[in-house]
Parts: sequence; C-alpha cells; structure tokens
Amino acid sequence: MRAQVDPSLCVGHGRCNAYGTDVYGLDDAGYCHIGHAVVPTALEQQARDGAAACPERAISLSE
Amino acid sequence: MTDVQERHVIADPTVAPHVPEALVRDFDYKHDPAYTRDPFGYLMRYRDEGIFWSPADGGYWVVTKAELIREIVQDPEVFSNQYSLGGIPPARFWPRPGIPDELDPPEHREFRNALSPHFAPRAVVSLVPGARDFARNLLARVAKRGHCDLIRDFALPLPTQVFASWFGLPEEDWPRLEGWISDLVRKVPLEQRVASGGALAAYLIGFVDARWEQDNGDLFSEVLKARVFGRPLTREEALDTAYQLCLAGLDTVTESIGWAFHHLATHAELQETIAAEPALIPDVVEELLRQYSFISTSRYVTRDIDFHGVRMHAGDSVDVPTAYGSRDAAECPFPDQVDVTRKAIRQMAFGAGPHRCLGAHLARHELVIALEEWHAVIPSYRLSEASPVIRHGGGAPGFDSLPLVWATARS
Repeated sequence: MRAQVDPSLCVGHGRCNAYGTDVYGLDDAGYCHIGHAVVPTALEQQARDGAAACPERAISLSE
Repeated sequence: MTDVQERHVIADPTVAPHVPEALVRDFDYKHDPAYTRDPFGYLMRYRDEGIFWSPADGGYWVVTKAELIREIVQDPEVFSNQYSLGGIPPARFWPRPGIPDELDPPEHREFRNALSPHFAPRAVVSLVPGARDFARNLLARVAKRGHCDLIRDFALPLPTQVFASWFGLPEEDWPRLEGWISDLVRKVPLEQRVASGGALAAYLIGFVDARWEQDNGDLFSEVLKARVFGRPLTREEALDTAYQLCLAGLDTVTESIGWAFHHLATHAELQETIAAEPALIPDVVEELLRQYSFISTSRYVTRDIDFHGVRMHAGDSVDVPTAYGSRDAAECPFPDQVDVTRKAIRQMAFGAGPHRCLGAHLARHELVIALEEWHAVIPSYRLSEASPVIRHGGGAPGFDSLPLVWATARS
C-alpha cells in the first residue's frame, strides 16, 4: 500500500498523525509528511485510519 | 410554562432576484428562539436540503452537506473570508480585516505561515502543565461545595487563564476581556457589541503600544518577531492579529467545554465509562466535538458562479454551519448518536480549508485537561434542579449558565 498527501489540501488538522502515528508525521508547522514510500503491512490499518480522519480528504491510498 | 411556542417571523425577509422561490426556506437561526433552545435539532431539520436560501439578515445561502462545505471552504478565491468575523450581513466591528481570519490568499498564507508553528501540536504541548494547574486550582474552589455553575466557575475562567497567560495579557485585565469578548461573540444587541468592540480595541491599542519594544517570551513577543513578505509586522498588523487571536481564543473553548459537560451531566453512563477508563477521554472529546460542532462560519461570494446547479452572485453571503459537516451520514454512520468507540472520527468542528481553526490543537488539549481534571475530582454529577440552565443562540450557541450538583464525602 502507498499513502500520498496532497500538500495543497493539507492545512494541519493533524488527525492523520493522531490515528496513524507511525505512518503520518507532522512538521514544525503541523503539516503532514509521510515517512514511508510504501506502507509496511503491519501499519496498513493506521494508514487507513489516518486517511479516513482527514477533514480535507487530502490523503489517498493506493495498492 | 406553555407547550405552545410562538411561531418566529423573519423580519424584513429578503430574497435576491436571482434566487429561485423553490430554494427559499423559513430558516433564521440567529433570531429564532427555537434555535437557542435546541440548536442542533433546529439545524438538522434542514440537513437534507443541500443548498437553500434563508431570507433573514439580508438573505444568505446555507450549505448542509460535508462534501459541499469542503468544496466551498477549500476555494477561498470564490468564497472569500473577508467578512468572516462580522458575519451576515457583511459587517465589520474593527476598522480593518482580522488577521489572519479575514484575509484571503496570498496575504492569508503569509500571516498564517508566520503563526502556524506556534499553534502546531508540537508547540502547544508546552502549555499543558500550566493549563492543568489552572484547572486544578479552579476545581479546588468548588469540589467540596457540591455544586457550581460550570460556565462561571470552570468553562469561562479556564480558557481565559490558559490563553491570556500564554499571550501575555496582564492577569488583572482578564475579567474585563472576558466580558467584552462574550458580548462580541454572543450577538448581544448591536449597541452593546459596538461598545464592547470599542472598549476591546482601545485596550488592545494600549497593550500593543506598551509591549512594542518588549520581548517577554510570550505569544505576543512571537507575533512581534514574525515576518511576512520578508518584513516584520506593522503596528496595525500586530494589533489586528492580537484582536483576532483574543476573539478566537477565548469564547469558543468555553462553549465547547459547556457542550461537553451538558452532555456528560445528562448521560451518567458516559461518566461511568470515563471513571472506569480515563484513557478514553481524548476519544470522548473528539466524539463530543463531532456531535456538538456549534460554530457557524460564513463566506462572501466574489464572482458569479454556478455551484452545483445553483446560481450564486458576487456579493452573496454563504453560511456554513460546521454541524452539517460533522453530522453528515455520508461522513459518519448514525451521525446523531454519541459513540465514543468510533474509530478515526472525521469531523468539522474546527472548520476546514486554509482557515481551519488555528487554535484547534490547543483547544483539544484544554478540553482533554478539563475532562481529566474534573473527573479525577468529581467523577459523578448531574444538572441541578435548583437553578435553570440558561442558553444563548447566535453563531456560537452554548450556555450562559450550567448549574451542576454532585455528592460530597462527609468528614
């Protein structure tokens, strides 16, 4: 699974990080950055939860 | 008391010539007492409309679906924020736009980027210990009494103390600030709003002048050190920022704490859940934010557009109650049920788009601390019959008084 954030939509809600701490990091201003180019299998649920919680729908997942 | 409520009549109803009659609804939440009594019930009666026109306050569009709200707030070039604080009809209680809320891109981005690092999750964690101390001190005053007014004794002073001490406002000024801001936000009679707005302006002008050369290590010092367009803020810009941060930072958290405790006081089973597992409190807070997204924000249309088949004209106002974004069944199943076991809650209590509430992360901390500290001392409580719950409506509805009682241990 791959996770991608659209930086033009991310406004720093930080919910991806709250629900997917090991997949989604936050920079100093609170914006999302994704640490893994490919999400490890063990973290796929975190990736899905973090993407689902984004109020902007800024995160997309692909297999 | 009577069961028959008088039907509210909209004063000076306005339907703009480009608005089809079929899209007009009898909706006037800012003045209808039915909304003050039950704001979410009132809004949800219109939840399936999608887009409709309210003839109140000079007329405005209302948008009731999360997907449409997202589209609007993510497009600030068409849906401008230039009157977002004054509301509908477009008005201004400050000589210039509030910074950053009433700015549009590209200016908005400059000011927002300068402020964001101070409000990021990583930064606001440093405020947690102080906030916890404020909460404990407030609770120490009421715990043995067995009753309190949740608003006066806890929900109003806590955010004021947290924000004002962080921002650098002298403690002796806090009560006056609370009064002015409460007037401005609660849509009291226009005369009183103007008077309180003027008093707040005069106070902040004095504050900014007194602090212009001082670095006290507080948030206002950071505002003075901030750079926009490669230069420091002008005195007016610092003042406009101070004004906006004071307005946004105080009343809203009070209202949020009020809604959370009103729900808890009337749902003993949730108090028991918290007592059994205090670690659930962040989930409880997130779910109550979703269920009680009380803020309405507005946008100002900058050019004629066709928005999902609806003709909107430049100069139209669009009202965006965040409750519609948080309680949309397309976003969240059974949206009117409070369910603290929900996973990955998606809600719009803090809005969305570039104007997403800057203070959201601090507000979440304050709510979690309020619930943790309260429940550690007063695990079980209910509404008091001795005095009434008093509510207010407007763009940030909530409680003026929320009397609670609890059993105290006899020594």
